Amino acid sequence: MQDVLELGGKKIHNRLFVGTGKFSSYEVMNRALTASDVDVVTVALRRVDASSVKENILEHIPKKCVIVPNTSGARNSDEAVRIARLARAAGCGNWVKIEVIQDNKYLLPDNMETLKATEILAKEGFVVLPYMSPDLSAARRLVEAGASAVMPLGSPIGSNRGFRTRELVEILISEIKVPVIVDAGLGQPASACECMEAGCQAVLVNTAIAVADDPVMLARAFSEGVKAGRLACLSGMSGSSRSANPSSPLTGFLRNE
Amino acid sequence: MTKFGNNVLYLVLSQEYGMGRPAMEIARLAVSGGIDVLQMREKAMARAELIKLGRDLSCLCKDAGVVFIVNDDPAIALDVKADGVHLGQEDQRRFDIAGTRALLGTDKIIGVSTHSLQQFREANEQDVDYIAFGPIFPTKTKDYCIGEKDIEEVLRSASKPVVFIGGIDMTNVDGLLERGAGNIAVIRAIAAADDIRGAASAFKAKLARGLKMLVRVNGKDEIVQANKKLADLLSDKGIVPDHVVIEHNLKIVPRETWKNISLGNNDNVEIISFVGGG
Repeated sequence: MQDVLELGGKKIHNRLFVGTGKFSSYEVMNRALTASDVDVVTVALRRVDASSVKENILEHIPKKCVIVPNTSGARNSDEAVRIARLARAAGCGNWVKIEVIQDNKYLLPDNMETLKATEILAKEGFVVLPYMSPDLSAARRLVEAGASAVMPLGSPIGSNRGFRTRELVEILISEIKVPVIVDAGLGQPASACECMEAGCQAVLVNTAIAVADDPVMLARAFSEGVKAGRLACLSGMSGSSRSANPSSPLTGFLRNE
Repeated sequence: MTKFGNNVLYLVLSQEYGMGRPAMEIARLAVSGGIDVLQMREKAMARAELIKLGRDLSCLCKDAGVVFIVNDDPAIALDVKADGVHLGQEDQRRFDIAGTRALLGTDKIIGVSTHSLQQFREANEQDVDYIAFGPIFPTKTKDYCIGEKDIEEVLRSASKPVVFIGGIDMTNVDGLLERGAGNIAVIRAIAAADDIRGAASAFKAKLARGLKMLVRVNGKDEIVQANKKLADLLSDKGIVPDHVVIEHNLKIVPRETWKNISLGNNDNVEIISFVGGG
């Protein structure tokens, strides 16, 4: 059975999306992306610093990848829209991950401003992937506004605390028609696996992979974790219970009646 | 901006500084030397005399394509068909901006003198077409000068053309141009010169050659050669154009147009590229 995620008119095989920040070099990043056979990567936009290295990150991202610019740095919807338009003008397609953050301590997204930006950008033909706090009403409004997926956080960006928002994300999974993609805070392959088991359509990981001693190996581990979780989700796992359910026959054996 | 351009040489005409030459003669020579704006500022003349001189100057300027401004008095400006009026800080108490605008209409130019950052900021909010700022250097015309320290701030925040004035001559004009000043007003440096026409054209040449302007690139103020092309700005900075996106005054500009876009004073340029991000 071919299990592909259809998003923004594209068929995506690997449900592990990878962010490109914080890698020690573009060369290491390239090897991590290649080794884990990633299909979707995120990038950011920044002012060009003439004095810094003039290497172009796009040349180090495998050709087959869908590039999703994020709007990091945006503090309101206007800035997010401005960044998204700049990204599209750079000629890397029309996908955008909307990220509107004013809170510097927890980097939690502003769902209201994110919604405003989503409305505008979806009308302009962008494939909009909004980073959000897992709130059902906000998610519904984002979908009405034209979001192609919703990206609730697992835990704060870069915190490696795992799938802390599970209860709320599970509600989104059961109620929201577009793919739910957990973004941020997944520090271990087990957390990514857990998201997929719970029914997420994909996960986005950056910090954990980028700052590992061996990012290439951890990228592969995440990719395997995501695959395992996805298979488990599709398998129709049975539920859990407090008491035991024997897995061997309980008929007497070698015992006197 | 349409009524009063940038990079203009502005002569404030006062016969008293003309070494005995009549106003009309000074004006004729200065106009032929290439001044862009002429202001009639004859404090000692009676009204009838002013109106007569004003009419002659108005004709002279019209024929030469020079902007003609009357100092102090909106009614005289109207009477002699001048292009506008210049009001000093004191004049504004007699003729307020709104009343002057009502009298002259929206097609005419209103300019004001400012002598401090505070006055400049007030004028910047008013319905005026240019702002004179000075005296920058010590001058015999005024008994004080405000110095050069606020030039950048004035240029950065100006929403209309700024004319720098006060003690400007051939020895100090370069410094102003280097700092982004585009419009220069002089009195004596032209009117008292032996060769009025030569002095005017020498100033004009400096303005044209040394023209600098202030642009904001990635949030930082920079002084660059006037009318620099966007493509040249990039190559000056050693930025490889591939995969760079440029926003010029909040508008994304396509790569093919970079070699044709000339930067203007106070323009805002953002040069953006992709970096790693989650």
